[in-house]
Amino acid sequence: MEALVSGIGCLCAAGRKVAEIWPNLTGGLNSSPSPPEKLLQLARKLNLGELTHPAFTVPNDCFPDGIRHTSRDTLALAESAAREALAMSGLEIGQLSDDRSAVIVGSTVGNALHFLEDYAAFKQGLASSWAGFHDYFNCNPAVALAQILKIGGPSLTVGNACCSGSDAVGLGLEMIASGRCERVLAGGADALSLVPYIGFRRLMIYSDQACRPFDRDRRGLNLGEGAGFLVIESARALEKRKGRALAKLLGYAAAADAHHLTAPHPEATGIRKAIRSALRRSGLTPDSLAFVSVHGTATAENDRVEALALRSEAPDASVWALKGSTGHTLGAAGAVEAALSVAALDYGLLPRSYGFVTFDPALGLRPTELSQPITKSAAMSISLGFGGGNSALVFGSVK
Amino acid sequence: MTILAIQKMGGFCPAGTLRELFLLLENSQPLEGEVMAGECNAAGLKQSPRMPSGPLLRRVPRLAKIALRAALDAVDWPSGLEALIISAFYGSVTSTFEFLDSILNDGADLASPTAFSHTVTNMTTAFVSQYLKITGPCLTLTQPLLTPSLEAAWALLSGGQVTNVLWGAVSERSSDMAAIEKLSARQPVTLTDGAVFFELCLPNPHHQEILVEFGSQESSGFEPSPYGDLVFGSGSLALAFRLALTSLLAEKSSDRSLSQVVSDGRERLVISLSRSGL
Repeated sequence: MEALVSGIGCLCAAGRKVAEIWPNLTGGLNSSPSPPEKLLQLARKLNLGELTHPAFTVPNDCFPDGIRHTSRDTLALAESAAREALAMSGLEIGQLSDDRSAVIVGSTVGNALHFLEDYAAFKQGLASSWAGFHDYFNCNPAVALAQILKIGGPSLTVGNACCSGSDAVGLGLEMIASGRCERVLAGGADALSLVPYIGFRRLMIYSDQACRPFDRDRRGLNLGEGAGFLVIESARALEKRKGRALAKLLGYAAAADAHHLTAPHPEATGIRKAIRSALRRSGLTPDSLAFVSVHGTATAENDRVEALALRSEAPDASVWALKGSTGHTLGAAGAVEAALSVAALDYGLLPRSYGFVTFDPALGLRPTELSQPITKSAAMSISLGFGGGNSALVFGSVK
Repeated sequence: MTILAIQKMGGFCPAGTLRELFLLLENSQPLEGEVMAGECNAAGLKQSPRMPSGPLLRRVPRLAKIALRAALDAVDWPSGLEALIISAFYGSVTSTFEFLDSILNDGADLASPTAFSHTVTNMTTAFVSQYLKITGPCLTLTQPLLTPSLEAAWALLSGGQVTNVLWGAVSERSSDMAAIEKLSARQPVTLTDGAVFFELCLPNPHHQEILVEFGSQESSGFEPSPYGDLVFGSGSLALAFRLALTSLLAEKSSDRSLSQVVSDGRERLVISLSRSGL
């Protein structure tokens, strides 16, 4: 069963909606990371030390009543991007209430880890609020989103580290292809949380400056926050309601390194396998690809492994590294990048890769330095994650 | 309803392996609450000759060790397995609280990076895939329900990605979590230690097989989970253990019309024997 993308939604540091993000990405108005002040206030309050590393954040008014750093932050971001995707598809709330409509949400540690202040009080015997714990114990963003948007079929929450968003979209494709569902709202969301912010700093892979994916002088990642969603429909369902397709979702593959708990395989075996399998399942060859939207975290090892894989598996495709505009949005990243890859195919334009300045001969890969027209009809979005996960999605133009 | 065939199964809990637990229940041995609510002890984890020792288990979250012990009880090794899907809800809860403790006790500049990496919800899946050399899709679902992970398994199998999936549920006991639940007067989730795994594939009409049927879960959103039963606690692990025990009963049954509902009030699964192999 052919799967088509009929709507996309995105919320990240580069903008609140696709229509706002796109001119920023293509028009040179890049977002820049800064120390996440609200988060750092909490760190000071808990006597955790002075932190200054920058992050890509969304405005406070993206959260209910402008209040952030609660357990509901991720759900708020997810709802915003999901509503945008549904609106773009022309589907209204209530039209997905049957058992053959699914929602799949990818999310990671930011999914629920927003109760550090409550936990500190608990440890001191001073706890007075249990709301954060309550939400941690019951966190299930897919089911929550299904209730808000009245989606009647399967509700899946995928926690596959930094591949969560792309695996959510990929599972959406499989649910359409297998005939289980006619419509799937699939994506990812993660709000910034102090816990992974501290964790990534301690792993020594967090840059104290704006991140520079694939740059010779890259110093690590910056965290970001956001959400991305796609409405995926069977060709039959879209035809029936006379909806418009933005792109085809042609293939998905996931492959595990089975090598190390936190480091990617040095020979890029997993991501190579994922790229090859996704292309094979799409019926395409590497030379069909206009571009690859890369994971590009700007850590030394991620970019090295990804470059190794791309040089062998898709050597002629342009490379678009988005995280210099969004930061690493963790469980949302794969879905944000998938949604914006669809936008690129639809607009016929590939934006520049912000943050990249100096070619690294050790990588042998040069991401886009200027916006450029897209002349081929397919694109790939890839993600790599902790635990050795690797995912690849292939989209095709409908023009 | 959607249907999958169970090829193999196994598990590990404070009472031992899945089949040891089954024997205890079959012989009507009274199960002490403390036994089932206790912890999988370190000696029990090492009892399988196939369980690795030494460096491979260093810096591995306890939950991942429990999961591997259960997976090795379920499948042959080398396994030939193509995909892995784990329902892990909280991931390693003890690692999460360890990292929070480390942040609060040691400060942001000295918090444990190892503890942080263990908080990531797919660490268990990563460890099992690493040891069993599963290099296809390896997915973790983080919700207190089984059906979504079964849906994911069915999608991968029916979509043609793979021909078999090692699917399971894992959870671990956390004293911090129990204390918070008690103080907050919250209806407890009663997590126990354990893991259970099944090798699943699409039904083969020419084989006699144990089948599991499932449909959409009921919504639970942010509402508290209901009490589970006293043997296995609540959460998806409890339902997965009941599914496995019922499947073992079906395996022994000569009743070709067997159709047994396994439910925890939120999800409903049906175990049956296929007739086509007759």
